[in-house]
Amino acid sequence: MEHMPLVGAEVQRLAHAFQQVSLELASGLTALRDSDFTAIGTPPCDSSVGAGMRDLHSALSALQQSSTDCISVMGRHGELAEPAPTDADQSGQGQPSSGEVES
Amino acid sequence: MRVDLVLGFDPTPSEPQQLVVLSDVVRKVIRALVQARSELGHIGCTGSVWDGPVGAPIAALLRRYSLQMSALEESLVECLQAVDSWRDGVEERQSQVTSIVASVADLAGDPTAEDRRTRLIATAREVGVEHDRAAADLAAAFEELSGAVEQIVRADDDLAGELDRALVALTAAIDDWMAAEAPELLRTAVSLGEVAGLTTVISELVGIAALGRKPGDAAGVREIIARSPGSHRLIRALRRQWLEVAPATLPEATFSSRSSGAITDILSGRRTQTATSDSGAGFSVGGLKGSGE
Repeated sequence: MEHMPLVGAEVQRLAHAFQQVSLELASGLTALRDSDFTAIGTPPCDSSVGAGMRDLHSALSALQQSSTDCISVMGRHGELAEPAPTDADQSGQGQPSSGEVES
Repeated sequence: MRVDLVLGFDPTPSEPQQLVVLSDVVRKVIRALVQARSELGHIGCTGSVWDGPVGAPIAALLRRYSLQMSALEESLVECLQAVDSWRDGVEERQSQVTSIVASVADLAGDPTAEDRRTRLIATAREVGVEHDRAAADLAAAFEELSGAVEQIVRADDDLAGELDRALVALTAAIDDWMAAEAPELLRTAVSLGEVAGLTTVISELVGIAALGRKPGDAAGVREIIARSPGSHRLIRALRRQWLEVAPATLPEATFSSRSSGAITDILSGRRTQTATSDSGAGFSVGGLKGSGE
């Protein structure tokens, strides 16, 4: 017998979401990389803009680290997203794959 | 013509090309945050596990994560507006100064034009004061961004740790459910006597085959069930037990809502309020709702 209804799919969707979040945040970090934020305006203004963008980088890094850590956690609980082996699987008999409909 | 050489100072310092870069970067980061939040918004809307007590902690931590990104995004939108406004103002002021510089240069070497030259330089200084004032507005937007970041960092969330604990609890709940229901489910499965069809139905029930389907779309599940005569008995058994596991009062987990207002509000008390304000969504059993019986 398998797990609760739709738990597997939801857990897979969750893992996928964290991966996508990590990728999106990485793209944000890439946009920030090597950017020079001087000569924006007056010296005090440049100072504030530069500090804000450095802080933004820190925040994005922290958020991305969270998603990366969550991906690792999801990996450790992979059994939640995998169907439990059936007797037929264990004995090597063929089974229809997920979603395959017998006609 | 260099402004500082002609006037002796530059009243409107700013490099337009740098402003284009800054605006572009901020825009890209906002887009990344919106996309990331949208990924979280795509999950947790289908009922099923999210309606039960074991799914609620996961839904809550995802909502909190989403709110952190939302706060950052909101602050960045304000920065972008400030940068765009600054860009427009800089263009206008630098154009004024360019005109003044040309006039002052024309007067060079003319001893009778000293008064006019003085007036032009005074005008340039006034433009500079206006420039400084506008720069302070831009600086304030980025200082607010730093403040938003500080609150996010200070929150010191152990998202992964919470997720780990929630998944441990989910696994335990599944094990308990299976231990309790195994005899009846096995009896039902055996009595169905249609192994291939039953396997397909079970795949659907556990959601492995439901990936890629739109949230709430149960049509595919109904179709599968319709092709597996007798499987409704198994579904009834699953539904009956799952209804007992998942109370109706838990919130539907949608992460797409974004509250407006000050960032401080979002990150303080209103966060909890927002996190609970969607509660009361009706219970559904995901793909099982309205299926095949």
